[in-house]
Amino acid sequence: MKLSKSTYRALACTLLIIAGGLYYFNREELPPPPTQEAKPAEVSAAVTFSGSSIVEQQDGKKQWEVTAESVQMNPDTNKARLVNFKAILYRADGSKLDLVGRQAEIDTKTRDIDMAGDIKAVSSSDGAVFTSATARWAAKERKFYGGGGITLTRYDTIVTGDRIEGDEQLERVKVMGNARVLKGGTPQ
Amino acid sequence: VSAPADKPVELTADTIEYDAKTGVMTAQGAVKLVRDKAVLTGANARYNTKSKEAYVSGSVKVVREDTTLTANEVRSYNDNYLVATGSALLTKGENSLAGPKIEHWVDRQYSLVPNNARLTMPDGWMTANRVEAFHTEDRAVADGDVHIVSDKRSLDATSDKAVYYGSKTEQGKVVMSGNARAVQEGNVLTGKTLTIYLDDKAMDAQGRPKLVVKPQ
Repeated sequence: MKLSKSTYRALACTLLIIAGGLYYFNREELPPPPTQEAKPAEVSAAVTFSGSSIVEQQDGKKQWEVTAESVQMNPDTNKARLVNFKAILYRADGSKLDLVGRQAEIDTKTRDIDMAGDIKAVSSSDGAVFTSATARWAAKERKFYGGGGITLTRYDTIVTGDRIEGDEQLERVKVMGNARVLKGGTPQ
Repeated sequence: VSAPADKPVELTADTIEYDAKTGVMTAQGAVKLVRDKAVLTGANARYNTKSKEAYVSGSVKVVREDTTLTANEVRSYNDNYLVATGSALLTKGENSLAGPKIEHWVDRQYSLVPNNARLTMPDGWMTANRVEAFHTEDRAVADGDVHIVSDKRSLDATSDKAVYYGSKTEQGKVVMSGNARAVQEGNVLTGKTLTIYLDDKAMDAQGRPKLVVKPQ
């Protein structure tokens, strides 16, 4: 059965109407285009991306490298917030310090890193293992801080205490609060 | 008996600085250093795990088995040789040795008070310029301006030298030599050498002995 011209025209109109309706009802779900100036009251839009890494280089030399499950960059504060991170601190003598933890915040201006949550660091030069509840890498001083209860184990020496500050090798350290150094096992 | 080679060391304090490369630990506040059977406590300490040298200051107390040493400062070398300075007092068993400075050797169980020495014994006390104590033998040798006082025996004696034998090895006695002079209950005995028997209140004298008895 052959359709007449007018039938074709009716069909086309119907299709047009359906398409228009579909567009009208769906346009709400598409994200609103980002506005250039965020109103002061509103939290600025944080750019979130997952499974990425941040690398800092200086004079062409890698200083540290951090990967995380998620990185949230806050352009207002220039701080990146990381969840479940892994960091590698490259030290002057070529060795490195591997760190893991639950949260970290990197100040991309000062390059300081504040870390929290089951911090564990392993030194590649002598196998020293450091653990703490919180930690901080102060880039300018190239010093390491730990708090909330720390342990530092190197060969037969175990250092424990409330807080610690140390050089990047964690060789010269100062332990504050319930400080204890045990060398060669527990004296009988 | 030589000092143990590498016994565990435990240092606790309010604050500890530790340099893993040099092996030096510096501690402040409520310091306690435990090594082998010795426990050192004080206000500040510095311990080198490589050279085994320790320096503890501030109301220092060292306890090792039945020996206790207190002083303002104590230096320990190779965990065996201790030098205590500043109101030093070493107590061992019933005897105690005091002086501005005491040197003590753990392995030899020997102590030396090089000047202004005072030895306190169950029977009384003895002062002298210099006193050596041989702990395992319970024997002490005093040299220079020796003065012995025993209230228990109402005895007051002086001499150039004296050797005190505690009751552990032999019959307790003191052998005083060089211008020896003893006064007991008013009686005066002099001689080149006097031997005072601690247990039965007896004395004997050699070398032109002279006894002056106080009339009753």
